Parts: sequence; structure tokens; C-alpha cells
Amino acid sequence: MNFDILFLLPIVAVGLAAAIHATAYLHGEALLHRPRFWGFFLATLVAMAGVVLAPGKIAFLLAWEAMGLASAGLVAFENEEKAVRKATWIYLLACHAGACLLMLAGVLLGRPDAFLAAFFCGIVGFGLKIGFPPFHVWLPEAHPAAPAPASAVMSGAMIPLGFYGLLRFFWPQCHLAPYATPCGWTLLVLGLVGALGGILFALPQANLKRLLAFSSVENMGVIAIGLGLAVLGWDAQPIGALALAGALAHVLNHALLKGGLFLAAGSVLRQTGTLDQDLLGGLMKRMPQTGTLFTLNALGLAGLPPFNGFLGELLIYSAAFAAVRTSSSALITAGFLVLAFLALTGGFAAAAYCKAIGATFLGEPRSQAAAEAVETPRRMWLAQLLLFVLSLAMVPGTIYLARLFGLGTDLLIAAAVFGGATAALAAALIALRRFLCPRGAVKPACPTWDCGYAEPTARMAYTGTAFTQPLADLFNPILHARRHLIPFRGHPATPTDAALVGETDDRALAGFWRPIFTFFARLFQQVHLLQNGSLHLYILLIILAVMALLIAAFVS
Amino acid sequence: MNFLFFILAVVLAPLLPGIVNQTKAFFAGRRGPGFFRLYFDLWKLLRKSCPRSTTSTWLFDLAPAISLAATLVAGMIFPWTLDTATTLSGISAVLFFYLLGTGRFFTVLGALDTGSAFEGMGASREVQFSALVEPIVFVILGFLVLATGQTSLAGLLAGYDAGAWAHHSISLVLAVLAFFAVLLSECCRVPFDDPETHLELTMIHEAMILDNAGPDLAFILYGAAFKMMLLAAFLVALLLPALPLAAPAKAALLLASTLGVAVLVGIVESVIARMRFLKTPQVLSGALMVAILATLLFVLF
Repeated sequence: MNFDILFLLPIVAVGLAAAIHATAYLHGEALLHRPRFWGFFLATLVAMAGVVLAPGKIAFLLAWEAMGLASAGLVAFENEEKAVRKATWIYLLACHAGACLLMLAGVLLGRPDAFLAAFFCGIVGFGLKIGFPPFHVWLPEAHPAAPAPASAVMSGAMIPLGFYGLLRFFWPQCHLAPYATPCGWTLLVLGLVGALGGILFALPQANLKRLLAFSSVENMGVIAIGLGLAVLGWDAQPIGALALAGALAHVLNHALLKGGLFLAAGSVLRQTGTLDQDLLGGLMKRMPQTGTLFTLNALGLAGLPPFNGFLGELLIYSAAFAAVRTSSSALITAGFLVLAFLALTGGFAAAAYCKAIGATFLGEPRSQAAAEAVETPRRMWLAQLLLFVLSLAMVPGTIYLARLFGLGTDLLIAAAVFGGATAALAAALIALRRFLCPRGAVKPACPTWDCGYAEPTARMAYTGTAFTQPLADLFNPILHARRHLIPFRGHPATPTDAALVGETDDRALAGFWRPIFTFFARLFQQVHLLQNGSLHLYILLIILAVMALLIAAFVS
Repeated sequence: MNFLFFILAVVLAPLLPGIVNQTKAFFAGRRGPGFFRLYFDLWKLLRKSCPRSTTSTWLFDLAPAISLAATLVAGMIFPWTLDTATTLSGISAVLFFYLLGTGRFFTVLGALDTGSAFEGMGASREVQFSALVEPIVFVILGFLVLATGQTSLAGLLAGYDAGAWAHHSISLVLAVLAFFAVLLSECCRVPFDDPETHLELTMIHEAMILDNAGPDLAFILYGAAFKMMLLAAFLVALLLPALPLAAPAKAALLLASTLGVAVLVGIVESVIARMRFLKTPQVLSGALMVAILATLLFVLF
């Protein structure tokens, strides 16, 4: 099977929209900085296209490495900030570790008896790009650090290329008899953990782009679930075809919708100077086009009908239903796991996007910067509109994809038709409402009533953090949110400001990678015993080494 | 044919809250507001205006209508005749529950659009409960796929044959119990939420709609009644075996039974108190366990 075109489409679409957006996004930058962005941006796009079009393994690896390096240049764009330099460093590390393992996988793939070893090297190597847990650490660091158009391209088009790599090198063998079980379960479990874990960590994030980055981990998890189910159920069609079509449809949906969301986040950052959702709010009035497009894209990505995101998830759900219907206990178990995890993920995704929309765009502005924001130049939201329109084209696109796989399309057509019916009925009800309460009959005259408070301020409104607090508390054994109170000082009559600060760090970085890196750092510290700056010791070591060599020479 | 019964369900839906309230009134020894109260309320609300605050945007205006539209379309695809022949075979149960999800998404956004802390609190709790309800629903759907061997919504609900129904009665009862918890939670009834008040302690659904008035409020109230109708019909269909009846008879039975479910909800509401907010996740996880248990029992026996 050839997946080239499918993965080339998002590169072109998201690349084009991001470029349009970037022309305005970079407006405030110094003139000298802009060529640096465009150089790395175009190099990244070329390298990504190279990955897909590379004729052989060596060319693929070269393009892969070029893609990592060029995009690291994009992440490092605002390198005067310490956080950005740290993010670049983590990203580069992840890229190179991944490339090493991919070389190993390429070598192992040449041997007929080492397929599984090659597959696991590939899973880790490509997983470092895709963001399988616990290899996802660079995503929540690099996405907020990079300029928004770069994040859009990286999240929408680049990380799914990991799946392209997996499919290109391992698909021909991994869905066949002896390998299907280990390969399929590996992908499935990584997907389940990634989907639920990703969205769980996305929920409490205050930084909008960090939230989107974690939700990319979730979406990659959903794609991995589809692929895992496809590998496990390839012999029991139509499970395999349904799941694979669902996974591929989700690749395209995620690219278009997440690209649009990252661009919108970039517009918010450019107009307000902050991405902290607890300082934003009320932007729907001030930036109506950006806000509306963000809402529509988020609806699609939450997988809700009538938008295209639903069709991809519907295919994966149908595969899970088909798996439950078989007589194989492994497939039934896999089917139930997918149903339960995907449903929970869907519920959390809806919560996370409600929070992102509500805290960023609805209510009253919580800071001066948000209150003074105005709509972006037209081409910034036109870029998002382009992606949204393309994502609508994915409705017939998904049906076409299903037909390519030889699947019945009743399911998708019914979903699309009744999705359309929802939109039409909503329009009719809105018209009815317009007829019943004509516009302008009652002019809005006062702020929200708020149960009798005379002058409610924006500080009394629910923040995004407050909105997600019940769910975050419920899952705190996993999230380990840090929360500290900064109490007021001074006399109680004239107190200073008090504050409650809460942060949810990435657990994989703090709990998994940092101990490993600390261990190796400490191990290599031992070498310092030999390098203590004393000349005598060095001379002694040289003499000992020469003597040892002489003895060795004489003995042999 | 199916559409005809959909229209009948649309007409009957406002009866359900009336029945719940009359049952509660009966238990409390009051006369109650009457079975048809909601019809009069809706008529009254449709003739009022929709004021809106300076904070709100188009989302607040359109959310109730979009939300109701999604719920109604979910009703349109529901197999009221419990018959695979008269309904579309390509309709997935996933579409049904995700349409309800779309409705909820817009209700929550409309609430957040007011910028009020009360609505924010209600919305926050609503998304928490609904996120925990989703896996219960989908495990029950998986159970139904196992039990019927079908994957379309009509096939899942058309009923298992009487022999299997008797043999697996225990897992069936467990699945119905779990779905009853889903119904109570999704329809914002006691013990999860208390539709009588919108004070801080019970601020969930009622808190989200504090600022809506006129036709908007009518859309919301009607949508809630219709959603209850849908979930009650799903519950009854879950329980019924395949009956040797004509399609219209089955649909009539289904609609009549939903009124019975409303009586049951009223009884539950009369005899138990709303539980503490922090207990809700535990009860919902319990319901998930019950649904998983139902599946395991089905697979093992």
C-alpha cells in the first residue's frame, strides 16, 4: 500500500496556510530576523516533502534528519528567551536520539530474522517524533516556544510523518501472522495511554499552546489506536480496513484542524501578548473572526458531528464494534478497551476545548491586554478559514477514503447527511428565534446579572483553571499538579495581593527522563576523578599507560 | 413510519417532566403543577423576549437553538419502531450519542459566554459528569454489540431473542441499572443534580441556564425534556426482548414505557436525597464497573 499522497496533502495545505499567516505574524519582528524564519520554514517544508518523496532508506534518513534540524531552527527563533533555548535543546536531543534509533532500525530491517527488534527501534525512533508517551516530552516544550506558524506546521504536518515512517517501513510485514500480535498490541497500548494521558494533561494547562501541544499527544494516540486495531484485525476484515481508514482520516483531520487552532493561538498571542488563558477572555467580541474559527475548529477536533473530525472517530469506533462482534477473545478485549478509552478521551477532549474556548474567547477580559485587543489583519484569519474549508472537504474525502479501502459507505453517508440535517435544523430554529425576538428589540444594556452582585468584575468570573479544577483534582494522582498559595503580607487592613499559583508539569519529564539523565550525569561525574587538574597525576597516568603498552608489546 | 413516531415523541416529550413532578407531588402529598405544565410554560416563554447582557456574544444567542437541533436530529435517527426494516441501517449508535454531545458542547459554551461565575461553575460540573458518563455508555454499547451481533443503532435496539434474553437476564439487568445511572446523570436528576433549585450546592444544569429567557429558555427546557425522552426510550429498548409485534405496536409500547420511566425517575427523586457533589465521580465509576461486570458475565456465561 502506498501512503505517500495522503501524508503529502497536509504538508502542502498546512504549509500554505501557515505561510499566509506568517506574513502577518512576523510583522513586529526586526527586519533582520525575518529571513531567518523564512529560511528555516521553507527548509522544513522541503525536508518534510523529502521525507515522503525519498526513494530509498538512506535518502529517507537524510531527509528525516534535515527535517529535525531545520525545524529546530524554527523552535529557536525567539532564542533570546531562556525557555526557548531549553525547549530547542530538548527538541534537538529528541530528534537525534530518534535518528540514531532509526538508523539502527534501518540496518536491522535488512535482516529477515530481526523484524521485531527493528520494529521496536522504529517505534521508539518514530515515537520520539510522534510523541508516544513517554517520548512526548519535547512537544509541550517546543510547541509553545516556536512561532505559531511553525507550531502549526510541526503539529499538523510533521509529527504525523512518524506514522508515515512506521507505515512505510513496517506495514508490509507487521500485519502478517507472527508479527501482528506484538506489533498491534504495542501500537494499541501506546495509543490508549497517549490518547487518555495526552488529553488529561491538556485539561489543566493554562498556556493555550501548551494545551494544544498536549492535545496533539492525544490525537496521535487516537491515530495509534486506529493503526493498532488495523494491525490486530487485518485478518478479520472489515476491522482492519475500518481502523486503518479511520486512522488515516484522523491524520488529515488533525492536520487541518490543529493547524488552524495553532494559527488562532498565534493570532491571540500577537494581538494580546500573552497565551495565559487565565489572563485572556472576552476575545470573541474583540476578535470575532479568529474566535469563531477557533470555535469551529475545536468542535471538529473534539470529534463532534456535524464536522469532519467525527467521521474519522466513527470509523475507529465501528472497527471496535466489529472487533467486539468476533469470536476471538483478544479482539473482543481490544474492542472494549478502545470503546472505553476513546469515549473517555472524547469526553475529556470536549471539556478541554470548552475550557480553551470559554477561557480565551468568552466572558469578560481578565487583563488590560485582552481588553484592548483588536482583530488581526485579514490574511491571518483567512489562513485559518482556508484550513477550516479544507477540513469540511474532508467529509466527502473520508467517504472517498473508505471507498478506496473497499468499505461500505452507508455509515459515513448517513452521518454526513444527518450532520447536515443538524446544521439545517439549527438554521431553521435560529430563524424561528429571530422571528420571535427580532434583533434589536431588546438592546443589551447591562452586564450579566450574576445573582444580584451590583458590579461583577472579570476577576469574579470562572477562569480556565477553575473550570477544569474538579476533573484535575479527580485525576491528581496521575497529574501531580503543584499548587502553592502566596499569602498576603502586611497589616490585614492594608494587605498586599495574595495569589494561588497552580502548575501541572509534564510527568514524563520530571518523573521519568530527569532521573535517567541525572543518573548518567552522575555516572560520568566519576570520570572527574582522573581529571582533577593536578599535573602530577596526569604525568603519572601517562607513564603508567606507556609502561602498560610496553609490557603488552613484550608479552605478545 | 419511523418519522411518524418521531413526531409523536416530539409532541409527547414535555409530558415527561410533568409526570416526574406529579409523581413527586404525589409522594409529598401536594397537588402538583399538573401533567401539562411544561406545555403552558413553553407557550408562555415563546411569546417573551430574549434579553442579553453586554458580555454575551453570538454564541449565547445561537447555542440553545443549535443544542436543540442536535438533540432533535438524535431523535430523528432513533429507531422508534425497534425494527431494522423500517429504519436506516447505516445509522451508528455513535452518531446518536455524539449528537447529544454536540448539544451539550453548545449548552456549555452558551453558559460560559455569560462570563458569570455561577454559569462557569455549572458548566465545569456538567463537563466533568458527562466526561465520566461517556465510557459507561460505550461499554454498554459494546455489551449490546456482543448480545445482538449487530452494529447499527436499530440492530442494537431491535432486541435479542427471548431465549437469550432469559439466559442472560442478570447481565441485562446490570446493564439497565448502569444505563439508568447514565439517564439520571445526563438528565440532571437526583441524586446527581437537583432540578428544583439553582443554589450553589446544586449548581449544575440549572446554573448554566440562569441568564437565558424567552424562546431561548423554551428551547433549553424543551431540549432537556426531549433528551429525557430519548434516553428513557433507549433504556426501555435495552430491556425489551424481540417482541412478535407489528412495528406500530412496538413503537406505541416504547413511547408508553418512557412515561413509565418518568414515573420511576419521580419515585427515585422522592425517596432519595441528592448526594454530595464530591461523591458523584465515585457513583459514576461504580456504574462503569457495573456495566463492565454485565459484559464479563455475558462473556463468561
